[in-house]
Amino acid sequence: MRNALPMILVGLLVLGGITGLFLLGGGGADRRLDGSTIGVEALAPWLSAQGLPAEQSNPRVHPDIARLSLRLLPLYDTDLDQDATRPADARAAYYATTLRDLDRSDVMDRIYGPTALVVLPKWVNGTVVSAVAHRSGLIPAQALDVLTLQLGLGALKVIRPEDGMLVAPVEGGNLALFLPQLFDATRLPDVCRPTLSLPQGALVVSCHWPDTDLAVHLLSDPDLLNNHGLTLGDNGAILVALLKSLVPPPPSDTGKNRKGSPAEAPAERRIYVDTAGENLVTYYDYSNERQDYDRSSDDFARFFAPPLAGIWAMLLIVLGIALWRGALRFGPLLTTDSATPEQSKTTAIETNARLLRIAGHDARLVSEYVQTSLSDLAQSTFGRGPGSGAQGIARLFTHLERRDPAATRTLRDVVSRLEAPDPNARSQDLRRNLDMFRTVLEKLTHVH
Amino acid sequence: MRPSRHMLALVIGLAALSVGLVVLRPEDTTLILLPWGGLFLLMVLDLALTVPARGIRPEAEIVARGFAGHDAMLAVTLTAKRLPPSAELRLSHSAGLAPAEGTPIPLPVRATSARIDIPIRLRDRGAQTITRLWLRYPSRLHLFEVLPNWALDLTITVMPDISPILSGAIQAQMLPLLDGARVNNLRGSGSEFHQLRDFVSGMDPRSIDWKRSARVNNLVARETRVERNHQIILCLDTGHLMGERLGALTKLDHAIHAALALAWASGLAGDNVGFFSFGARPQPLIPPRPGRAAFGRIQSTCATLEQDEAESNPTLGLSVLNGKLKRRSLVVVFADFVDSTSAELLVENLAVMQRQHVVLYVALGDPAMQALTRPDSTGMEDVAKAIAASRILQERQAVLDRLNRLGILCLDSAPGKLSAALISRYIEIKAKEMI
Repeated sequence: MRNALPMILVGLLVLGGITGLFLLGGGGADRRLDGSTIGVEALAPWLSAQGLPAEQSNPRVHPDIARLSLRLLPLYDTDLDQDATRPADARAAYYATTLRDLDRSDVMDRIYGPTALVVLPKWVNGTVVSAVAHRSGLIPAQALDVLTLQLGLGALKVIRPEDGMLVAPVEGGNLALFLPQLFDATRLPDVCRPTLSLPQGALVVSCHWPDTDLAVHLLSDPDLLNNHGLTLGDNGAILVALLKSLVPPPPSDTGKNRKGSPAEAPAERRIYVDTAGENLVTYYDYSNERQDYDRSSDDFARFFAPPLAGIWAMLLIVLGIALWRGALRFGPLLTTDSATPEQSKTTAIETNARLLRIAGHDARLVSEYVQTSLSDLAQSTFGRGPGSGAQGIARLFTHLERRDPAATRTLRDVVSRLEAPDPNARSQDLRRNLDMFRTVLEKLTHVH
Repeated sequence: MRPSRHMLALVIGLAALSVGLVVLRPEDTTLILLPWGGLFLLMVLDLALTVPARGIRPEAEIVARGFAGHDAMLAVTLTAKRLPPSAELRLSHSAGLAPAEGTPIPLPVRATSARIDIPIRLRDRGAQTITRLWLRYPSRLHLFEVLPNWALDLTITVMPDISPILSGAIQAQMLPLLDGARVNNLRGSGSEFHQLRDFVSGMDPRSIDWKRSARVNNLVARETRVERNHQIILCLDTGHLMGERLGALTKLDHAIHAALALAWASGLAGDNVGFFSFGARPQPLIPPRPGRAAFGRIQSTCATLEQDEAESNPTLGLSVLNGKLKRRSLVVVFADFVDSTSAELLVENLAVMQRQHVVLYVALGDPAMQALTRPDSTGMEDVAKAIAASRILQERQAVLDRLNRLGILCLDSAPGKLSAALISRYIEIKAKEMI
């Protein structure tokens, strides 16, 4: 085990590296979704290019709430109360409506944190895979009703009034949506009002609960801002105009636990495209609780105040006794032997043996050992001349057979197995045969 | 004096207890000080009851001479008004000595003097010294270890081992050749004419000298004896390979012991013995002289023979020797090699020498290598080592076989059996009249 320590360390490092890779390399499916036709990867750079500071969520970055102006929360889950299950077959995988599993309480936290624009899902998983938008790839409206109910807006109904491309002029340009998904404007809840309406229904509604002073905006059709929808018609310009209207004014009082001063806050407030599986936004700045102390010699003196002084005293006593014992030697200094010929011979044999072992041919090694043992025995029995070579070994077997035919037969069998080993033989079999060889040989040479 | 392990353990235990009390009952300092005070009192009491080191007077003596590979006994006498119940000894000594591992030795109760014998293995030839005696004994309550030490000035001269000669073992082995009470009368079946004597029944009829018998009108038989006054040259390689230790002694020491035994045996047999050694450079040849006269000189040369740190040069050494020998001789070469490649030069030069002389090459086998080829377990590591050792031995045997084919006599023996095997081979060579 002496030499195994570096290998264990290397093994641990490799294991740690692999674990790190798994941790860092997670979320491959999320990245594929964000980059797909129904993803929103292009949104943040595009908004930034249009003069609206925006950033996309990153699992390793926890932005402070004071830096965010609006959270864009595209949902890819139609049932927030149920964990996503692995699809049973390819068809189920194609029509899966949960592309990124979210927890209801987590979503509610995000909605009622900073001002949020929640984007309802529209397309099933097959759209990501095939990159084709088709009627069959729409999520059933009933599933979306479940989602709005879980969001606390059960009266909000989703409708799909057009069976094809809808092009409608709105403020900012021509809105273009394929198989548009809208809210039924006639059945909006009391707390909601349409923010962006079309003749067929409401595309964006804003809901406000006066008693709790909470507000949320909902976008019925994700094609307004996703990777492929953003490029249709004037959707981009319409979205920019919409977001400008939705971004709330900067708060006058940022609070003492918020980072940054009020003066610089508006310049840094960004739209947050939240595609993370969990809420990454930091609500409270713990670093503001830091208290600086003055360093003085009194701090050092506290190390020697009771009860620590007693512990140090014990330590010193033990150390002193140990040093006292170690300082006095009984007998002369031990000297290490310098390199001697016998040491070099031993080292040469050990090195040779090690090389033979790492060659990995244990069976051939044993075969040679058996041959050498038999040859030695034959030469010591009949002399160097008559006992050498295969003839000597054959003569030895004849000689042994006269003593004990049964044991010699067993020895012959074991020797034949060891000299022509099966390449697929296990090391345990090899060891067992070798043990048997020694036992039988000892019996034949010592008992008689 | 230093704290014992018991005291260290006690202090650590008390410290742990005190830390617990400091944390749990910081206001009660008396409770903490109490055990420490108790320990302090115990220490004082222990010191008062312990035999003081300054009262002990040691006397050490060792024999002036000893043979390499043997044990010499160091007798240490401790004298004091009262002695500790047990003591352990250690020595500061030169590298050529190996004292037995020290263990605590019980000393007689209420005695004022005690003798302790320490066996010391003599490993290297030459003057070896013992410079300091270390003593360790526990205090009365075993809280301390008392460690006095005294300077010593003891010297032992380690000589080559001639104990087989002194004990008569060599002479006993030579008896078949001597065949009589008189040492110089080497009667036997040799080829050299010795005397005529009356033929009696039972003698070999072929020994009858018919001419002489006709002249004296009586059957007279020729009696022959083994030839005498042959030259025996003992040639030792002193290169670094001969520094390998087999057991307690180096190969060079084993070779010296065997060479001295052979020199004595040759003297008994009436041959002239010379001595030559070579390392990186050849040493002067001690010319062949009648055995017993040569023995003293060879012995003194061997006593001062030092092992060369450099690799030996057999070409130079054996060429010089070959040039100095004017008469056919038995050259006994004690040398070693690592593998067949390094043995190449040795083989070539021995082959050259063999053209004019009888060459007996003496190699020392390593019992540890033999043991490696027969492992006790069947673990793959041991099997691999056995094969590696077997390959080295096979290579060594191949060199010896090659020497045999060249007509060079070889003797490969274990260190303990070398002298006896060498003399047997010498008797065999004489009997076969190979010289």
